[in-house]
Amino acid sequence: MATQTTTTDTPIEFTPPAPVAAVDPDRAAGLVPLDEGQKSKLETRVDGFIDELVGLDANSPEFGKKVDQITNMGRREIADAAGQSNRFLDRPVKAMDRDSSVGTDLAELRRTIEDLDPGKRGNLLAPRRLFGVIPFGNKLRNYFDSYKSAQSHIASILSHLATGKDELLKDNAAIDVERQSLWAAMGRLEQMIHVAKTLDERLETKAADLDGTDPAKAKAIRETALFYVRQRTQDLLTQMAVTVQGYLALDLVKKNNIELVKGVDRASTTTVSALRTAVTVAQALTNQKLVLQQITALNTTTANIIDSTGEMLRNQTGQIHQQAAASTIPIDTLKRAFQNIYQTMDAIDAFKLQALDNMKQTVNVLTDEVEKSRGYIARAEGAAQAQLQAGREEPFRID
Amino acid sequence: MATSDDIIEHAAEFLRRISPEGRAASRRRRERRQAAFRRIAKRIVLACLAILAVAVAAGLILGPIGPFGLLAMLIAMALVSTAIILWSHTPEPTPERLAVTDLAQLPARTEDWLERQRPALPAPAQRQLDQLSLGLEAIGPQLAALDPKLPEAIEVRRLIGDELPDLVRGYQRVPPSLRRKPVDGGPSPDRQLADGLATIGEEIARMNARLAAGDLKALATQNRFLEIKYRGEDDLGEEE
Repeated sequence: MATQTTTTDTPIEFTPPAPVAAVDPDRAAGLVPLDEGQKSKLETRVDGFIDELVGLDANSPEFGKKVDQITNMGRREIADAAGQSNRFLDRPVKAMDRDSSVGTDLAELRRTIEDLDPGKRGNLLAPRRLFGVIPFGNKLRNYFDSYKSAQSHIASILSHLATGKDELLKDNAAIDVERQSLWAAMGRLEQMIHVAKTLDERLETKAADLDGTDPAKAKAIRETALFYVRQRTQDLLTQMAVTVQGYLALDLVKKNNIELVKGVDRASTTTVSALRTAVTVAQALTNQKLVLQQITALNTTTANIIDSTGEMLRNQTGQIHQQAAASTIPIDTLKRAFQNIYQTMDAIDAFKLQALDNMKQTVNVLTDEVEKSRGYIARAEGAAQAQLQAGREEPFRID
Repeated sequence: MATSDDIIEHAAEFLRRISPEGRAASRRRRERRQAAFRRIAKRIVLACLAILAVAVAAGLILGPIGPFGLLAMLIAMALVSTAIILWSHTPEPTPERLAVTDLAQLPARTEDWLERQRPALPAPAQRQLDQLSLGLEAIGPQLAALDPKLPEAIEVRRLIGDELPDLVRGYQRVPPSLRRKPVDGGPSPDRQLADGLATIGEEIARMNARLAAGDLKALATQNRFLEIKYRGEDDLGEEE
């Protein structure tokens, strides 16, 4: 979080996280670590299964049933992970919508602030004259009066922004929860992948062993069991890749949200800070006590809501007073305060443009991958429907 | 003469009745009967009060209603009460009716239907029926809040309104003399029924968990949001 706001030379930048690229199914496995205890337990299951399979007559219906269990392996894990992938697909899209609601508030804030910008009011220190000749009123005094009429509008925009920020935080909370359950789903997929790979390895060895003694059974194992194991491994890896990708995409949305929250904080802070500067400058220049009740009230609430903002404001108050008092031209201090707001908003705009682009890329890649994995799932479901009998037995689940 | 099978069956039936599930099931049946009775009683009382009010109003406006009026009032009350009792009688659930029952009432109706099938089912299945009833009762409140057009709702309906009755009726169609014999070396129809009921029970529990997942997540999210917002934990939820 930035610490300086009063000087314009602080570079402000919100960095959008890079888009998530497609995850290669071959590299998807192994991302969630399995502990040794789990591994050995799964391997024991695999060994038991292979022993039973080899013990059966290759032509018996029991052998067929055992093979059916392989085609069914990890069906629930895949369906589970796939169900979640539907949800994480629409989250980035929703996040993009949310950006726009915060964006509307920021744009509104910008318009209101521009009206107050001392830089756009000409020379405020020059005396005001009617028809350019007769001295009439005080330009500066009129200028500061415009704050009074704008304050309630600004206060309402800022409170909108605070609500928007809450939405973003809630979004992140939901993402945290979602990621946790995705992580668990990935762990279960990983277990199944481990089972599949171990089965593959050991069936291969077993078939090689049987080649000499019982070639018919070796052939049956190769053509049915091993074939299905490999097919299933591919399905599991594909689903794993999609899930990992979704997991990373959720992280992207979360990071985007964090940046945006920082932006909202920063915009609110710089605005409140500019208004405070205005109060001080008004005192210094016109000896007029500018009372911005709404903003004062907001100060306290904002300080309570945005802790960092509160701290920043406290630090700055001293600085503002110093600058306003010390500066030979206090109006410049005010101009700088406005410059700060613009910079923040420009940075947010630049961030959003980039972030939106990255998000779109991520969503596109993810949509493609989810589409691909749906094909596999449909096939797996079809197989499961066909073998409902054997289907309910899940010999490889350890939890 | 009582064979050993009969004795075992009786013992199992007794054990079932005193098991926690069995007692819960009978308690629920009792409660449901009482609730139905209260509902009917309430309607009758309200209807009789309305008739009485009409009679009093008629007496005030048109003058005394006389003994005939009184008699007419009593007859009206009796007729209305009979009508209410007849209308409130829930038709006996059949699988065909289950298929079109409201989702919110489906678990209760299915439970009711299962209860009626109980005598025709073998002893080992009795205990499973109790467990199924428990599962159905647990899922009831969740279904009440579920949009019937959602895929989950359709799935639940298919499971408890369609597949469960199909299983039980399929078993009932098998002649009783063949039910205990293994079919072609495979499991006997009794065994198949028990397996099927177990699968359905597991599936109901799983669906229950799945339906609750949304609420569980919402609660976890709210908790996490409060943490992020007020405790500022790991800076706006930035971890890693």
